[in-house]
Amino acid sequence: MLCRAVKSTFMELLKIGKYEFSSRLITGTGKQVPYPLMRQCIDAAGAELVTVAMRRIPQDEPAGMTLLDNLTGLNLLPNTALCFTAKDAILTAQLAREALQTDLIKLEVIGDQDTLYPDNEELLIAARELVKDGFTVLPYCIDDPIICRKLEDLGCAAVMPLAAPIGSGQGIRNVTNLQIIIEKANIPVIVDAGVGTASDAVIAMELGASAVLMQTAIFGAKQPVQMAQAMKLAIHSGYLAARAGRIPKKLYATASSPDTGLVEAR
Amino acid sequence: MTKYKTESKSGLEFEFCYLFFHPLPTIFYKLQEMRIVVNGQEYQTEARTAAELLQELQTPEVGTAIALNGEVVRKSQLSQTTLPEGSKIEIVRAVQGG
Repeated sequence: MLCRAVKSTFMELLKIGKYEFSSRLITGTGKQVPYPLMRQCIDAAGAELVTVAMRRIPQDEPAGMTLLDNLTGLNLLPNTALCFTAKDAILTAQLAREALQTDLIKLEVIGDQDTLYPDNEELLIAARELVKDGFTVLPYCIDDPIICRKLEDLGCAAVMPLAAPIGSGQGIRNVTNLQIIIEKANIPVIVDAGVGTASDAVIAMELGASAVLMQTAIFGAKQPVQMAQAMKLAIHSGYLAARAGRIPKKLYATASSPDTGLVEAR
Repeated sequence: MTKYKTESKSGLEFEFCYLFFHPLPTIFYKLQEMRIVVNGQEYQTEARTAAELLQELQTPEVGTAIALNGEVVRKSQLSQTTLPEGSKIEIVRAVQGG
């Protein structure tokens, strides 16, 4: 009995395509964060899957400790960040697969510099091509149930709707859309982008999200390691709360102590 | 001695040297520098293959990848893949990101 009670506080494995993870918090690898601090944050967050970007090698780059040396033991999720066309995203994905020996790809096809919102048309083109090419595709997409359904139909392994614009920290701006996406999807829904603090991650998980992906919320915090820990707890907390089942919201109060046997002064 | 210089598409420069009283023309091969574009920048190289270029640029083997004119070159194909004049090359590695 005790054993079962303890076991029920564990999270089920997160399944993305043929991959399984015991952590439901996916993190970035910081932007210009010193490698030791980056690794501390990732470990504090308990992340097993971390995103990296693919960029041209500068000709004058000094040899030394590389990013990969600091990410040993972790699964890499290369992204196609800041690709503005399906063509660029596809080539970036193919280069990432060759460089990092993984078919996982966080597919981003951006449509606009200011909002960094995805370009739906280009995203669908790239997703179709990459699925056909054997990739495990995790597309970053708008919080729209229709685009999520189309991406699922194309064979993506998960969908990653945004909570709010990348790096904005606004939290979940469209709770009802996210609810619909989660209810309709038959693949993991990973909330990606826009999380600002731990409560945002809890809400995402309470809504039934399979995982949350974040970068700025952790690495942009004043105390990144502490925030990483907070996020780990938030993900776990939200996951358990979602399965525990919340009480319905009511307009009026219901006494939480017995309303019989009350003392009378006169 | 008369010299005829020809430039071939492959970038090899042939020097046909007809020596007096020589029964056969002697051919000297000289590797000529070739212009390509690496990561958006003009680059002069003597490298003939993708493998030679990566060696010339001292690109680490692990964690990197190269594309030639929009096509990824698999690691197993690097030494068989020749670089035509004016090739557009992308060489990448992973960096921090979200």
